[in-house]
Amino acid sequence: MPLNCMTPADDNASRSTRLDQYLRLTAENDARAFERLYQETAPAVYAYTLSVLKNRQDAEDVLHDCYVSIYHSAKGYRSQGRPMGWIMSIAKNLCFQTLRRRSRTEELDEEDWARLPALQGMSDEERMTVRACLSALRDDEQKVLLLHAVAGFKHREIADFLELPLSTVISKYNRAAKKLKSILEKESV
Amino acid sequence: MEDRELDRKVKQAFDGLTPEIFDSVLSDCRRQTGKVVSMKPRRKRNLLRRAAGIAAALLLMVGGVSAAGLWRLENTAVASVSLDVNPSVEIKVNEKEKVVSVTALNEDGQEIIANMDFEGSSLEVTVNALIGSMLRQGYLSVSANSVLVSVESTDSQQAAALEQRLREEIGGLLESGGVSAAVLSQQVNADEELRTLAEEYGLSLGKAQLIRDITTQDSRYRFADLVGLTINQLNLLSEELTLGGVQRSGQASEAGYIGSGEAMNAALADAGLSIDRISASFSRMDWEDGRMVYALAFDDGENGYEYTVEALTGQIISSVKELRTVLEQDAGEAGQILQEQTGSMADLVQEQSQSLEEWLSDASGDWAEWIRTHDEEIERWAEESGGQWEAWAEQYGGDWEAWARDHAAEVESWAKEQGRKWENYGELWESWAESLFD
Repeated sequence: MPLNCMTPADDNASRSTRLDQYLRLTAENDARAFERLYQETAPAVYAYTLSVLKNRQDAEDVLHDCYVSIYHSAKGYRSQGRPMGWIMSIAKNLCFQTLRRRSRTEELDEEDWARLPALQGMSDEERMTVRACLSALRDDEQKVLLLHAVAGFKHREIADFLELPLSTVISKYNRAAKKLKSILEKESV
Repeated sequence: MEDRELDRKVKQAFDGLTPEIFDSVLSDCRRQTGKVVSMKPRRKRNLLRRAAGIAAALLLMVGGVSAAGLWRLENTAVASVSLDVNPSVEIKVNEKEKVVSVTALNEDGQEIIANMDFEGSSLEVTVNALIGSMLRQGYLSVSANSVLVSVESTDSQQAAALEQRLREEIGGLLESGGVSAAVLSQQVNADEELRTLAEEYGLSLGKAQLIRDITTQDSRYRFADLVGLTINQLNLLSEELTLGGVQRSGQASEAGYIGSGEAMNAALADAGLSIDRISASFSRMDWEDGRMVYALAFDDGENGYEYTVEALTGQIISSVKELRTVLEQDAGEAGQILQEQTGSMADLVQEQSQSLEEWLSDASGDWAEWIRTHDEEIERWAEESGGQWEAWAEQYGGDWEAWARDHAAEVESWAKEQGRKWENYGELWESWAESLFD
């Protein structure tokens, strides 16, 4: 079932306030607030973990563990106006742990693509967009683009998160956007 | 297609892709939340008998006091106890060990106190409530288990007794809450310098004294570097130091970090070594560039390695490999020259590394500000690029940010070029050293 999307009118500041509130309520064991937090932030976490781990099952496992960790850590969360940054840091650490347990690097293979069940219910353009993001872009370009587009990170936040210079992030985003636009525009002709 | 439109399409696509696993997540969360932290009722003690020994030494006046005098007595603080975790709270008590005031010394401390009113309560009940509040709000947990207890009183003998009692009590409270405690306790001897430092940085006297003791013994840290650290972090950093006035019980938790074992595994993997090939190893936690790191060193008999690994993520931050056989071999005159040259080359590498670090930290700050403060470098680049400077001036007028946005790739490549100049010094040293023994 598709998850709710943010309305175009939402801006980062009100989103941060809203997520902070969900985290505060989650710390008080409010399941509904926790669910809203999940609905609003899980796409960003899943997109990032899929980009890093290149394996559907591993990405789903990390997605699951990430939110269990958020639930148990919510009491210790102290708002600094960047709730999404906090959530993505947890996801990043879990990804690193998974990568360290692996003995080889992996790529998203055809079987994994076939097993992405949500793809079945998507439009052609959406399916093409996902595929282009995860296979036509380099790893670093994927991360930058997904953090910007799906997690709503600003370029400087991406630079801090990925520990890259800001100029590099801007440059990678530009390259990724150019490639993706080219693919999408070619396919839509 | 505009970037914003592209972002919207990508977001929409991944919104639809994300698996719906919330029910499974919630179910696991509830199943794992089995242990509820609660404060077990404490066995009643004969407080009068226990307090008598302290009260006798803390009493200012004995018998015959007037009502007004009694009020003054009961509201006069004779000792001060501060609790630091990251929340910082100061408790003042009278000669009967009843609370005169409880003050939050930082924002987190205010959250701990909340609406609780302790005036007139016993010190024991107050400490119990405050520690309980820290446990409930997650400031104390399995991954952050350190508490600093600092006692200030004019009677040092009684202060010592109070310090010991509180250290044991707080340890017991944390154990009841399912946390294996690490308690640091000390008496505060506040000189003018300490009071100035505490006030300047907004710290309790206890935390200021602890940081001063650490920086006195370990010259790698400046006072200002450590003021923002939690007590757990300070405890981890100072584990190998002998802090004369500080009594320790328990072990600071590393559960919030990857652990020295994992850090060593990451370093060994990067060096292409396995644990059975190394003959000596050393690891400790450091605070470097605003983060906790593992500083590791190991030796495989031929080479010495030093690694810095980020404690939260396990990422390798820096690595150094030394040709041990070159440095330690007795090659007579060549060896002596080598030793002399090693010093100057190492100094050069170190100096350049520091310059690179400064440049990188400078460059990674405010983008527009960096552009504005590096006119010379940008102008030099523009000249080397053949006249683009004038083209820039015509096109952009003075709009640095617009220029930076359009030339992000070029600036990045220039920045990498600068980095490579520093990196080359390290490579030159190794190839020169190797050539001596060809």
